[in-house]
Amino acid sequence: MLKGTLDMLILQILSEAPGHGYAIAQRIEDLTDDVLSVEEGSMYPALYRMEQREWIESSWQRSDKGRRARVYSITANGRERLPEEQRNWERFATAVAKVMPNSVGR
Amino acid sequence: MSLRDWWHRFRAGRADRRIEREVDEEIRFHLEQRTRENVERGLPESEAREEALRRFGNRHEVVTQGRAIRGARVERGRTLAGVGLDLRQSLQSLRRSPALTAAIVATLGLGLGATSAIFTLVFGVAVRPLPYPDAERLVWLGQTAPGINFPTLGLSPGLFAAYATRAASLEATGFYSTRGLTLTGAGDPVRLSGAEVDSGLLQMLGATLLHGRLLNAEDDREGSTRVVLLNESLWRDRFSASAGIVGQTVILDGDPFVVAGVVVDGFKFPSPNTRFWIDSEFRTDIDGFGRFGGFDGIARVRPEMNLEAITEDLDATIAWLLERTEPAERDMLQGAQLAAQPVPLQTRVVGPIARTLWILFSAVGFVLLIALVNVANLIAVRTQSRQSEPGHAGLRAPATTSNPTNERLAERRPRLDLQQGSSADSAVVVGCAGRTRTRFLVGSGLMARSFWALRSVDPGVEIAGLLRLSISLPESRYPGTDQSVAFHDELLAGLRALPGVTDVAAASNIPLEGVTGGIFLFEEGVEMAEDAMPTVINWVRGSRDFVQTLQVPLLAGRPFEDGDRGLARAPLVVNRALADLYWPGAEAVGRRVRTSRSSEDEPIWYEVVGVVENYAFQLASTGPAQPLVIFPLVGGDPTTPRSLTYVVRTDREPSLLADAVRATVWEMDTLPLVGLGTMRDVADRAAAPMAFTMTLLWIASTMALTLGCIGVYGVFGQVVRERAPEIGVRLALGANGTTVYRMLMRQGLLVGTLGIAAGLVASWALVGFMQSLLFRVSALDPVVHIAMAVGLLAIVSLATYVPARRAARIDPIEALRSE
Repeated sequence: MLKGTLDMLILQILSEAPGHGYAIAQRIEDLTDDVLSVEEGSMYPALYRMEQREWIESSWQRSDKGRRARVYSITANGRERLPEEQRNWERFATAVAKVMPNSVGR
Repeated sequence: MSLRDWWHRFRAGRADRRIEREVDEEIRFHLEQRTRENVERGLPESEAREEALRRFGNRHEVVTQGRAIRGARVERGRTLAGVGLDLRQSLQSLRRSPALTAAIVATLGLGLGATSAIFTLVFGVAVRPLPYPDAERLVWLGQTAPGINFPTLGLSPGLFAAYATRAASLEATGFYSTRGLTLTGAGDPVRLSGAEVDSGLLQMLGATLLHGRLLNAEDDREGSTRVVLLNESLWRDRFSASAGIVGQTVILDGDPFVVAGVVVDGFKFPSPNTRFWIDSEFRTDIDGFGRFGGFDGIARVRPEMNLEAITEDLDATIAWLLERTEPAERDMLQGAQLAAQPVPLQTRVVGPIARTLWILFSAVGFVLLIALVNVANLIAVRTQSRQSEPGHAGLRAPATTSNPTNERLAERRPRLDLQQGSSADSAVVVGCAGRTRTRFLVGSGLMARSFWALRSVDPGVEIAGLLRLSISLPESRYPGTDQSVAFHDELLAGLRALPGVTDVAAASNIPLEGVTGGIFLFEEGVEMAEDAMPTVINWVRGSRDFVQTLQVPLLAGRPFEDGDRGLARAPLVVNRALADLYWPGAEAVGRRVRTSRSSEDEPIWYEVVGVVENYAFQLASTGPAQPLVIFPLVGGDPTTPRSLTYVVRTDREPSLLADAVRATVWEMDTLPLVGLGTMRDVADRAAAPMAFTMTLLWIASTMALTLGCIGVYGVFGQVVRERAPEIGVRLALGANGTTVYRMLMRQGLLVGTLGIAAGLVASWALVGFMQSLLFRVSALDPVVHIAMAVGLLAIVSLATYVPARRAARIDPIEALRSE
């Protein structure tokens, strides 16, 4: 997955609703029709990094059946960050589209 | 480190562990969820789990990164915590393999222990400066006289006076002559070691006083009241530590000395057993120039002077003095090629032993090096075995570490080594270790040979069954030599009458205890060439039964007889070396010679009556036998010594005779008996320094060997493990165990042989060092070298055998599967 894309996707998903890691992974799959499915493990370092930057925060929650799960939610910083991540992505996508005129682009 | 710091480290460690637990829990949750969903989609349980794992990817990497990213929050004490964690991790892995841990601890313990032990010695003896002010500027005023074959010579009073007054390079000077005197009137009579010194010596060396004063210029003056400084121990033992001792009179060799002061025990010059210092009566005028022997001087040199400049200055002084010396003496001294040879006092005092210690120190340093190589090898082998165990290195989550780099270092470095640790590298390691070990073994082998040679050396006399003791007659009660000879005659008779005694003799110096002096001998009717320097001949004085009692083989003529008394007939017994020197191939008995003590104009002639076999003057003396002349013990000759050593031959155990001997002496006079003991003890004492060196070398080499054995085993074990798949293939393709075993043994021995060969070459490089420590054994002694090489090869074989045997039993299936 392209650098920065994962961060943007996670922020986007969390801006809709908080969720634990697995749920986020599921949601990425759903939204991208499995096209962007990556090694799910690589998502966690991204989560930790964003938490470190305080774009998201986490807390342990009891899930159904009493299991403990770490649930992530977006912070105010993260919400501010999201548009910038999107702009970055658009710039990148436009650039790619220019190079590849026949591609679908956006 | 404060308690607070500890707390932070502790917290940091806990925080790290907490983070890891949480990440792990999160991952497990994720995997469980995915597995459950897979099951719901209809996959069987095990496949569902596998699919979840596959989709998740590298779990290990996530944990590592999680720890790195989330752990970054814990800033304080993090580095220290890292160290602590590394340590903990290491301890854990050590606990997992106690045998390896024990081997490593033992290896390092031996290496470090030996190194620090020897260093303590080296430091104490060789490095630490002597305990005198400006010790680094103190020199011993030595001379050399190659013309008369005297490599090292002390001072003469005249030369000292010239140095002291004329040599600009010397800031302060001190003169001394060691003396042995008998103290009477303070408990039992006792023979004491001491020194006759001038006033400059003790001041220059900074002797510290408990009472009284040091010597001064007035004491140096001839004819002044004789004074003595007592050493603290003597003062306590003999004078009840009385503060009123200063100003009192003590009797030394029958003469009165006024006590000037008491010197602290810490001051030990010129030797550790010096008990007193008396003022000097040397005539330090120019007439004393030629009187070398028994005198020594030291000086403090000016700060900016180096040894060459000082030598130059002193040589100039010698030249100045020579010009003012009467022609005969000048010719003699010029013929001797007298030259100054000052030696730093430290070198003079600790030189020979220091060199031995430095050699040992470097030797033990090599042992430590072997120890370290061994530890590296053992760890490499350990990592190898860990890697081959499934579920160990690969899948297990690594122990907690705060820092991925540390973790990588801790976990992977050995593995990297392994990848490169081909058998070629291992061979190099084995080779290096082999070389060092060979050198050691050769060294200690040579020492052992020397020791053996020393123990079994033929001193030229029969040592067994001999008791020895020395007696010194005080001048006060035995003023003339006639009285002394009368005493000795009576004592000889008394001792001879003791039951069990077969022979008794007395001599100025007995075999193995040196000689009494050196003189020149001139044969009657033989003109010496004008410029020729005669050889210095050693002499001792012996009583009638000297030759029989010591059982020195008589080669020609006869020993001394009863009629040999008095100067009228003046018989001499000479040794073979002297007969060969003066009359090679001709009859020595019957020749007449005079000594340098009587002049050409009024000669006193001696007649050679007997020739005896050479005997050893010193047990550890090397080189060819020196010429010796034995004078009879006669009255009327002023050179008859007042100190004589008695030898008593018995057919019983000699030590049992000691009490009877003491009683016999004390019946005549209560004199101190010095060194009452068996000749065997004398011989053993002479061998003691070598025994010490040898013990140390043996310890070092045994350690090197043990460590080397572990090392070879470790490395070869590693090689075999590494090659297990290859061996598996060979076995699968039809090679049998014996072939594999032979192949491995051949390779092991080849490398071992190369190492040993290199070691032999290296040990030859040490020849110069070793030779000085050896006695009648060449440092290139082939017996030792071959024996050691064979011994080492045997040990290498043993260390190779076990892994090779194991390799031969490898199960090919197992070996291939692990590949």
